[in-house]
Parts: sequence; C-alpha cells; structure tokens
Amino acid sequence: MDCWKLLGLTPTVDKKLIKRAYAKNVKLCNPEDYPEEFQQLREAYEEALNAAKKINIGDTFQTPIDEKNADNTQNPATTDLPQPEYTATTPEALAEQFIAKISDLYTNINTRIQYELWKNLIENDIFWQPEVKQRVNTHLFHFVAHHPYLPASVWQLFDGFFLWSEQERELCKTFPEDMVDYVMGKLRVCRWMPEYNNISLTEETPPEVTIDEYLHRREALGRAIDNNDYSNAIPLLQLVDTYHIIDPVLHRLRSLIFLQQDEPTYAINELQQQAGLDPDSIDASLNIGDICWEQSKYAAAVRAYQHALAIDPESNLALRGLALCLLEQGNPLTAKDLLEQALEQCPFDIDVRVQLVRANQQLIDDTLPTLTDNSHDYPLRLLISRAYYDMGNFQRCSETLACVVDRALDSDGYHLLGQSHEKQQELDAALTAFNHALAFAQHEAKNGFDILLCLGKLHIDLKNYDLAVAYLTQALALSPDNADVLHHLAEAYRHKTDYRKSIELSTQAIAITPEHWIYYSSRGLAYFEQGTLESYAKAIEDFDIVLTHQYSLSGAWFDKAYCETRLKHHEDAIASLQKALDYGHDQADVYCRLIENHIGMKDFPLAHKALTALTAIDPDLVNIIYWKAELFRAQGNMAQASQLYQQGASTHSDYYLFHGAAYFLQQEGNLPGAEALLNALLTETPDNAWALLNSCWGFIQTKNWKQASERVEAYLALTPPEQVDPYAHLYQGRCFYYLEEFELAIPMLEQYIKTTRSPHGYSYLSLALFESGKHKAAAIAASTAYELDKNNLDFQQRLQGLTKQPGKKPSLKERLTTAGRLLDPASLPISAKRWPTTNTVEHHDTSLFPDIGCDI
Amino acid sequence: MTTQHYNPNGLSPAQLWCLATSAILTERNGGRHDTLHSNGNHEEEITSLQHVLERDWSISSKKDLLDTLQWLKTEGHNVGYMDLQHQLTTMSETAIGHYIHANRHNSKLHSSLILIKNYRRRLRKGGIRAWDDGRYISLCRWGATTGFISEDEAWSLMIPVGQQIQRSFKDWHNFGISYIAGRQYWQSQLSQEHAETQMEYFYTLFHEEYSPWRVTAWHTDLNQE
Repeated sequence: MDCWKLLGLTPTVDKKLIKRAYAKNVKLCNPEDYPEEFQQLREAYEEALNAAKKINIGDTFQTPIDEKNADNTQNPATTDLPQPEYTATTPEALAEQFIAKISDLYTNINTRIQYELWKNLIENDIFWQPEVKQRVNTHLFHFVAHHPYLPASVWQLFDGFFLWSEQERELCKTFPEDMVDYVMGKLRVCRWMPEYNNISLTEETPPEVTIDEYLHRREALGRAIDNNDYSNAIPLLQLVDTYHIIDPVLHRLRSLIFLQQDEPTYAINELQQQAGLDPDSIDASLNIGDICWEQSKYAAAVRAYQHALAIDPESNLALRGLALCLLEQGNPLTAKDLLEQALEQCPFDIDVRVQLVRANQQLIDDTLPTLTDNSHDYPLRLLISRAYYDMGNFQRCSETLACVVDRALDSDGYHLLGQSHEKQQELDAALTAFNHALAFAQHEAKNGFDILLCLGKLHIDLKNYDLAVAYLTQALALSPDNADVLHHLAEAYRHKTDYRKSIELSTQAIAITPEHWIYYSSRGLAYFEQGTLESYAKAIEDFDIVLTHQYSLSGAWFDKAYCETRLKHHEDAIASLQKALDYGHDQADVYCRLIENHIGMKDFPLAHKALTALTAIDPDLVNIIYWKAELFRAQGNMAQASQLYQQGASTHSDYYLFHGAAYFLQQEGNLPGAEALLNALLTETPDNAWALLNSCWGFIQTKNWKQASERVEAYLALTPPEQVDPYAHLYQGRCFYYLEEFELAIPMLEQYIKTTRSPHGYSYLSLALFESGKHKAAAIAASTAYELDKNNLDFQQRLQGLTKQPGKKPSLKERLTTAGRLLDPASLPISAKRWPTTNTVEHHDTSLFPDIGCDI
Repeated sequence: MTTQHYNPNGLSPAQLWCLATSAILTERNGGRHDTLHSNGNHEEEITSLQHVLERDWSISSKKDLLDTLQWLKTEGHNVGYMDLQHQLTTMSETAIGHYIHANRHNSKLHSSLILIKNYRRRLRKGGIRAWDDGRYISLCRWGATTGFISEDEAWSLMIPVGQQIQRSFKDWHNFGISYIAGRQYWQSQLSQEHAETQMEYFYTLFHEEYSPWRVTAWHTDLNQE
C-alpha cells in the first residue's frame, strides 16, 4: 500500500507532518495486539521519510493541515433555529420579554450550555434599536451578576454584543462598583473556569438543591483544591456528594482529592467516570495514563495514552507517556520516534531528552549484538550509528560508520558521518563526508535539504562565506519558511558584510520563531556592524532581548554598551559596561570604554579612575597612552595631549597614536611631519578615510593639487555616498579648478552646494562656470554667494567683475584676488568635526578594540 | 579523575552524597564533586567566589549568607512555582491553554505557565524544590571556601538539608529534572539550546564513570553523620 495513503497524507517534504501522522496512527495500533499492522505502519513511516527527501523544487508541496484549526472552522451554527417571538412593542416591555427568555434558557442546565440558543436570542434585529438595546443591556448585566454560571462562549457573546469590558467606567455609573467588579472578573476568567457540560440532576437530588447552588459549591471546592486547602475541600466534597448530581468536573475534582490522599485506585475510578461522561476531554485519559504508569501498569497506561492521542495527536504529554510505556515494553524504536515528536512540541523538556537517551541506549543494547553477527546489515548499522549520535557519543558513531565507508555508505550514511565529524571538530573530514553525501543524494535523486544546510553551516565555520551563501540559498529554496536556514543564511551574509540582507533574513527567522534569542543576537550584530546611529539604536533593542534570555552574556553587555556609547547614552553605557565587567568580559576593553564614557559625561575623576584600573591590568598597554592623551585633550590641555601623541607615535606603530599625532601636527602647522604620519597610516590602512581627507587638506595647503586630487578621489571611491564629508566635494572641486579641469570641477562644487548651501561654494562655482564659458550661470552663482553673505567684499567684487565684464576673460591671477585666497574656505584648518574623537570615529574604534564581537 | 585521586579528603558517603546534590552547578562551573571546596581554596579562587557571591547573591558577610540560606530553605523560587502550579490544579488542559494565552503579554508569566503546564504532572508534589536545595548546598560550599562559615558549620548546615532532599525525591533522575526545571523557570528559558546545554551536564552526570550520581547511591544512609 502507498505509504502516504497509509499515513493519511499527500506527499510532503515536511518531516514534522509525517511524524505527526505516524503518531496519530500509532495511537490506533497497539503493537501487542496488532503486531503486523504496527510493523506496516512503521514501514510506511520510514518510506515516507525517505520519499520526502526525493521531492524536488517544483513539486507540489503540501500545506500542513492544522487539524485543530480545521476543526474550529466547522460552523456548529448551521442549524437554523427559529427566531424567538416578541409580542411587546415598547422598548421596556421588549427588554423585559427578552430577560424572561434569558431566564428560561438559564434555568435549564441543558439549554444553558447551548451557545446557539443564546446567540439566536441575542442576534435578533429587534435589539439593534438603540433604545431596546440599552434597556436589554441594563437588564442583562443585572441578570448575569446574579446568574453567573454560564459557559465562557456565552459570556464572550454578551461581551461582544454589549462591549462590557470596554465600558467598565460607564457601567459603574449604573451599577454598584462591586457588582461591576464581579462581572468583569467573571469575564476575565471564564475561559479557564471549569465547564458546565454533561451535568445532570438525578432522582436522588434533593428538591431544594438548585444547579446554581451546586455550581457555587463546586466553584468553592475547586478554589480550595487550588489553594491546597484540603481541610476545606473535603467537607465541601462531602456536601456536594449529598446533592447526587452527575458532573464530569466533579469526578475530576474527586480524583484530585484521592490522589492527594494517595488513593490512586479510587482516583482512576473517578477518572474513568469522567471519561465516560466527557469522552472528548483529554484530561481523564492523561491522568489515568500517568497513574497507571506510576503503578507500572503499562498496558493500561498505553490504552489511556492512545486514547489521549486520539483526542489530540500532538499532545506532548501523551506522546511522552506512550513512549515510556513502549520503552518498558521493549520497543525503543517507536519510543524514540514518539519522544522526538514530544520534543518538537516542547523542546525545553529535559525529562524527554533524558528518556530519549534511554531509548537510544536501549536501541543500541538490543541491536548491537545483531550487528556483530551480521556486519553487512547496513540499515542496522546506520540505526545504531544514529543512536550513538543522538546520545552524544560521536566517536562511536564515526567508528560504527567508518568500517563500511567507501563500501556501503549512501547519502544518509555520509551525512551522519559528516555530522559526527563536525561535532568532534574534525571540520575537514566533515566537509569531505558532506560533499560525498550531497553527491550521493543527487545520484539517489534526493533533494539533499539537510545536507545543504549542514554544508552551509560548515562553510560559515570554515569562513567560506560565498559557498555558505550558495548552499544555504539552495536549502532555502527547498524550505522557504525554515527559520534555521534563514538564520544561518543571515549569518553568512553578515560575515560577507551584507548587513542589509542579513537583517532582512534574521527578521524573517524571528517572525517564524520569535522565541529564539540567537536570531536577535545575529540581527543585533548585523545592526551593530552597520555602524550608523540608527542601526546602533536597533542593535540595542535586539541585545536587550538577548540579555533577557542570557543575562550573563558579557559580550552582549559589551556590544550593547558600545552602541550606547555611540549614541552618547553614557549613563546606560556605563551600566552595561559594569555588567560586562561583572560577567567576565575582557577588562582592558571594558576600562577603555569606561574612560570614553566618563569623558563623554565630562566626569574626569572617574575617567582617571578607569584609566588607573586600565594601567593596573598592564602598564605597557598602548591604549593607555591614547586614553591619557584623550583625557588631556578633553580637559583642554592640548599641549600635553599633543606631546603624548607625538611621543607615542614615535615609539609605537599604532594607528590611533598616528591619528592623534598627525592631527596635532597639522594643527600646529607642521604639515610635512603630519604628512609623514598620514602616509604611514595610509600604507598600513589604504582605506583610512580620515587620513585620506586630512592628507588631501595638507596637500591643498602646499598647493600640491594633483596629489590632493588623488587623495580625495580615493576617499570618494571608498566612502558610501551618504557618509561622504561635504568638504571632500569642495576639495576636489578646488583641485580640479586649479588643475584647469573646469568641467570636472563644476559637478563637485554643485554637490558641495547641494549639501551645504555654502556661499564659498557658490563663489567657487561661479569661477569654474566662468572658466567653462558659462557666464550667465557664473553670474547667477556669484550673485547667490553675495546674497548669502553680503558682508563678504570678495563676493561683492567677484559679482561686480562678472556682471560688468561678462565677455572678458580675466587671467587666473586676476580672478583669484588676495581677498579670494584669504576667504578660501578650504584654507581653513579642518574643523574639529573630523578630529578622530571617540565620538565620531566609530569604525576606527571597532578596529582598535577588535574583541567587540561577543561570545554569542 | 581516577580512583587514585577520588575523594582526596576522605569524606564520608553522607558528605559525598550532600555534595552530589550540587553536582549540576558544580559540573557547570567545572569544579570538583568530591571535595568541599569545589574550585579549590587558593587566593584566586576565593576572590573569584567572593565576586560571584556579591554579584549574583548580594552576599558579602556571614549574615548575608545565612539569611540567603534561610530564604532558600523556607521559600526559594519553589514557593512562587508551586503557587502557580496550584492555580492550574483543577484546570483542564484546554483551560490551561486559554489561561496561558490570556497571559501572553506578560512574557515572564507566560513562559512560567508553559513550563509548569509541561512539568506539573511530574513535579506535582515537590515542584522545583531541588533547584533551591541544590543551590543551598552550593552556597554552603562557597561559604566555607570564602570563609564566611567554617567547614564544620557548612557540613552541619548541609547534612539536614541532604536528608530532606533524600526524602523528597525518588532518585537522582527525579532530583535532576526538578533542579533543571527550576533553572528553566528562574531564567524563563524555554529554548532548545538551553535545554541542550543542561542536557550535557545531565548526560555527564549519568554516564561519566566517576560522576557523583553514579558513584553515590541515592539511598545512601545519611543518618550516620
């Protein structure tokens, strides 16, 4: 028979769906009573799992059927009930008639629990008349306050119709506050209060006992049990027993009391009665199963758990219970499958994990002797190897497979071998095995999804990010909603520095499995590495989530602190750094950041204290010189700062010391000295934007236009457009102008103007336009410069010259008057905004303290 | 560890048994299971333990230590756990599902309820008592190492609690499940990764040859002290 049919499925790659269908069928088929059918089912299951590997992209994928929801979509309200008749005509009389009908429904417990009757009553058009509705609302609220034992669905119906929950304050104007509180309380808890189904009075029920009185006592009894107050629970039970009312909930409550009194046999008896009265409830079966299990009555427990699974095939409690029974009955293989499914429902269940180890051990104990006798039995060898792997005994797993390698292994065998090698950190061997596995999978016409995922992950570990992306992209095409694949692909892209893509993929993974903190960590790091103020803020949000799950993760505290520092949230950063320190992060890194944040808060004593602590760790740390100098600089002691930087740069080949020293040399007018340091920096880090731009400025000062132009060109080539310093365009425009490349100068200057609206920019532009023969445009630009700064004589002169002699081309010397040179914006020293302070050189800091990546 | 180095201080079976109740945390911290001072008692270890006690437990004096031990003994995290578990006693599985859903916006409570729904049948009576008791024993050990209490004081505090633990649980397995459930409850940790990590300790304790849970029988006589 077709395996899919036997399992009741259409072909799917979704292993969970196959396992679920298997569990559902196992419940109907006791291995002791129906050994052949049980075996047939097992074979169908294995066949389906194998077949799943062969479904390729383009095949029709089955959408998993959510049976629970499917059941819910059945509309029980298909019965057309006759609309109740209302003879009254006035709103008040109609409302009274309505309440009379309500009262009738409520009085009879059988009608009380029928949602459709209530719905039919309340959804009458007559109540849409505001006056009637308002009166009915008042009457009904009063009614339910005194007749509260209604099913949750009816409470919700009333609330949906009259919106009581949203009008608590309004209701308090009409009704006593305690009454409103009581009804609101009922509305809040109704969904988890005991049900009212299948309750009936008997002939022995005393005539004076009403259903509501019974339910009132039952509620009190439940409360006493919940409060572990058995001294009150037992008399209450004795009282309700005198009512002789049949109620499945009462049997459940009795069973709890018997269990408390260590009377499991009586408890089972009650639970059996509960199950008889309420066959759709899973509780009685689960409880019977648990009690039988504890009493080692495995056959009875199996029946109970199977019944529970018939009600809910995904119940992890029933799956676990049944698995434990099967283990006791010597069927570890099926037990293992059931435990794996239970684990899918509840991955945190440590007990199920322990039992899974037990099942695997039993499987090995049972089958290993057979393997010794028949070493060519490959499926058996694979089974045992898998069991070793699942138990964490990776070495034995490899050994068991190794003796048939190149002889009998198929894609599954190589896949397992690769996983086993990987766990033992034998990455090259793992790669070889996975590659074999993939080749075999192709040969066997399987889709190789699991192998692609393993290969992708392994290539991330091996830092082959392009390959990782390639394999994981293939895996994602096979299973687009697989959060694990999305996460690893995000990691691969993150390592490739494609942060936008990485964030997009992590966000998808989070949408699928929001409870996995590692996805937030991955996305947080991508935001972090994006390195913009906006992304730092987002990184903090993700790190916060990570830390709610992994509070002692010092790396996450440190990364969070780094982002907070960049956002100048210094107090938060200091608190985070303290946590990072508490949980064992590298102390030198933490103290450096603490100094930075204390400087940011201008709290120099504490910055000194942190500097002292940093020095205590290792007085030879180069960072100490840097932070000492920074501290001087922050306190305005530029001479000391400069001296420290110069000394540091002369003795240490350190990026940051060169930075600082070059800056001060430029400030002090020692342009050749600065240029030497900048050249050294650029030799070491050719992509150093700060050095390129400052070096350009230095060359401009010495009128070395060609070299200045080359530096700024390199700067523009490596800097993302949104991060380009506007001065770069001005510098380049100016270089082009002096190199008489006027057509090239114009767009650069236009770009500068676009960003800054600087009159100097307009002034320069007017010159370049003039030289290009665009005299009218030049006059407009000169006019704009003058309009923006009328006090500038140079702008005025230039405008006058252009308007008076539009056709005459003055010499270059004439055009660049003394005033023009004096007011040349580019001759101003580079402002402090490009000073490599800790507040503005985020990326530089990242490379200074490379251990900002955390141990996530 | 080999037999030659096992139990270097000649601790009694009852003393070793008490230490074994802190085995998961000891394993996690890479300490010894067969000596009172799990991570040694040199200056560096003492400083490190003092830091941990201050950071994680706000313990910086003998009084702080004894107060915390008293809290663990009489209250701990188990009281809150059992309160929640009791709330679910009379609810059906479906009702519990509704209750959990209704609390979905309170992530801490939500996680706790999911956890309790899963474990409540197995931890019906003792709850996460093992989590509090196991930490009680760890704190006694650390208290002795840091010098807040003497070794004799530590043993006199540990033995009665050990006896109580032995009465409350069936075996090391049951004790271990209760302990890890407690850790999961405290951390609101429902992730697979966390469970896998905990499982590694569990697995080691059940399979390593000289694991205290293998060497020390659950029903060791603790009254001979």
